[in-house]
Amino acid sequence: MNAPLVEIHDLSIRFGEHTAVSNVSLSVRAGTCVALVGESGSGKSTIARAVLGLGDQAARTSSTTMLIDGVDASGWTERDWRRVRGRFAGLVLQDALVSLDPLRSVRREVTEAVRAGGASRKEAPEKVLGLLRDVGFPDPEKRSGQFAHQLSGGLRQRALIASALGGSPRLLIADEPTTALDVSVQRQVLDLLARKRDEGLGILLVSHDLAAVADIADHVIVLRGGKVIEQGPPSALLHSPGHPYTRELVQAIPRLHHRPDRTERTAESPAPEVVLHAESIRVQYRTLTALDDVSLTLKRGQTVGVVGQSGSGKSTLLRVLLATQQPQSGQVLLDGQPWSDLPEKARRQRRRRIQVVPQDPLSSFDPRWTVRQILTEALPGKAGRAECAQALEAVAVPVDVLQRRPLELSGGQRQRVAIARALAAEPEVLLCDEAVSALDVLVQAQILALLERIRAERGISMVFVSHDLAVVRQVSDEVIVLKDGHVVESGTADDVYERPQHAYTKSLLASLPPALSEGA
Amino acid sequence: MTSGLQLLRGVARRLAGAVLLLWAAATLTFVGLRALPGSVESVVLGVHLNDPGLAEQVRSSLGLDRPFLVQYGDYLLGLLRGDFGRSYVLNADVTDVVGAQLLPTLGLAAASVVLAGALAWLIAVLSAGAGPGTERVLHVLELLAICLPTFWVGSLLQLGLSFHLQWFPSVGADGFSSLVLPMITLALPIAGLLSQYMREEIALTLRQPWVLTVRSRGASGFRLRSVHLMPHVAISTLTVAGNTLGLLIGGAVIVESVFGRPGLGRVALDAVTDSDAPVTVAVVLIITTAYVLITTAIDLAALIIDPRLRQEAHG
Repeated sequence: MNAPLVEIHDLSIRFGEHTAVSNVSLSVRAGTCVALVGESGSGKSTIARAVLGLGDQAARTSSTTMLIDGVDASGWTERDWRRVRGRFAGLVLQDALVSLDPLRSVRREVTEAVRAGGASRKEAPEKVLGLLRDVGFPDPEKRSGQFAHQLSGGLRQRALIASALGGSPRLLIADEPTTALDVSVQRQVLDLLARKRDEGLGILLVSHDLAAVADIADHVIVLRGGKVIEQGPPSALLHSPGHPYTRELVQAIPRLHHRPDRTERTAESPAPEVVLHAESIRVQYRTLTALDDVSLTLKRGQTVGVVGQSGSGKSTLLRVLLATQQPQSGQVLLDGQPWSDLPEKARRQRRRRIQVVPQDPLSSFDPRWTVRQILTEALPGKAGRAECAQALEAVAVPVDVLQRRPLELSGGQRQRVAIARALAAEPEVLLCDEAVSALDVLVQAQILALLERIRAERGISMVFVSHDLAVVRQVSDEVIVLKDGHVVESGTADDVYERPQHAYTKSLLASLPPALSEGA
Repeated sequence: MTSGLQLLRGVARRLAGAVLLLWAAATLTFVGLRALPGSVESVVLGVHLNDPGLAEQVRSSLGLDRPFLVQYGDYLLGLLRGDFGRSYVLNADVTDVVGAQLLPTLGLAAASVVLAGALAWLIAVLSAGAGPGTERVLHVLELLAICLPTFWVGSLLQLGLSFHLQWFPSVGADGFSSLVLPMITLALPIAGLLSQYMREEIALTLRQPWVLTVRSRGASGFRLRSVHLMPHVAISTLTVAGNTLGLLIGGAVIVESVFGRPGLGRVALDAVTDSDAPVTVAVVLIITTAYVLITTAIDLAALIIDPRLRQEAHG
């Protein structure tokens, strides 16, 4: 076969004392896709940037072999690197909203890439339109004048890919290209990348999501702490992982048709009482209907999952349940008594019974407060160190964390502290707002297990809102599927996932990576 | 089409606000000056105040014997016609007094702002990300430029470049060479302020993910900074620059005194010290108008540069 586009042996990258990458080797050939998979801090993005010479200035890079397009790149200056950027290899980053210059239209951004790739002023416009058409950007003659913020997540990601292809590169480096996208859009973008690969493009794909890369990658390299843990074809890694860490990663992937050990819930009380009930909620923002006739019933000790893509009304529903937003019609009852219809003053006493676990706890903490201050405020009465320590223990966080501030915690610890804070009020209902969406898959699995334990031990009820179908499947008894503010389907988790009735639910399930549908 | 219409509507709203602001400024100055101690007659007559009959004569000739509201209405109508009345002290039409001084000050202010902006941009672009040592030195220099008293810097420049080296004239307003020293004096504090701000903005913008995308296309560092970075930094810097107008006016008063230049600054100073109400009113209205024009222009520029702002105006 043809010579590799990129061939690197024993790549090491150091930042001062810290070794970010050590002895990583990889090669990418035309028409193949190599994936670097690992959690945050594994060094995967650092490697991807090094292939374009775009590393941090403070980084020291060394390798025994560094062949870019067959040429030794070890001594390259910025000038040399600029010659391969765009023309030989293009880069696609996570979210086009921030990865395209927000002040420039799609047309100007792609034109810049095309011009940098050597196209003349005259031939550029035609090439730009061709590229946009090729990546499935609709009606490029008219819409390419739009800016990233005016486009949907999927469209602007396509525009970003078009701009990366502008210099007619033979290699595409894609760093988490689908992470910010809804599941069905993610599917489309991955399909686009697969098509480009089949047309002969080499792809170096970087992702935290083993399941997502599995059906496009030809070769997967699992990284941890800058070292290669294991590598091989994706099917081998998924079905017979050799290394314990890979096994852990594979097991942590939430599966659609496999539910982890669940504590028996409904058996103990045959007809659990209703804790929270929302009746025909309708919310209207000027001309936009955010929620239309949405009902939800949450029974004690149970979890209702709310699935929907961005813009489906999930967040509005949460605010209505929390009674921080008034619905135009319909009402919410808490313990069978009025909740949303009360004046705030009357509600305040009972506020502690509903607590929220946010997606990004970092922004929901006061950054200057220590964990102890955060917990002391949330705990009832005058809580001392002992009570705070106990609250941490319940979420399996070591006690010495009490003196730290949110920024000094790992993502998983932060989420645990957020849960501890919510539990401190001894609530009946936990509203989890994309509570695990920002976490690496291993941490995600741990937090889900923690939530499940809390539900079983304390009999707390949960509303679990997420765009992630597989995660919702894991935690929920009942599921509501939201689309454009309407409930398109609802029922028990088994019914909705095993026997979806509505076309939209079916299409959502079909767009999941095949790896998720397989049994464990 | 619609965005053009939106823009027009925005401008119209802006102009309505400007008229309101000018009216408020005119009224406040009118009331304020009437409330000041020392009657108008005493200003006009000076030592002749006690001459019998003269005070009466002045009052009736200035219309001060009429009811307050009638005077106020007359005053507003006059302003609408562009008639600011006559100076109590200089015995000349205010329009002539102020008109003659407007151009030198405008020239000085505009030249200083352009110089300050260019200087700040140059310093900021060259030094952004140059390392902590360079940044610390520049930071001290910028603080000095902001803090040093304008009259002292002006005198120092006169001493060095004018008396000693004889490069530029020390006083007067005769051609460009006499503009150089006042312009530098006035520009320094503004440049210090802007370059500090710009450097931070540039450093922040360079950390945006899209910068990586631009670099990954093989674009040069120069292109990145001049084509991509410039508009981003301009939006926020323009707003700050607009707010340095006060600094500019205060500076102009001092600079015009130090360099013996004619200009609005000196007129304003004299008018306030002499309680010359009509001239004071004119100066206040000119400054207010300038402020309104500049902030409107800056907001429009931001709308043109940043499509995201246009979107918000829609919703």
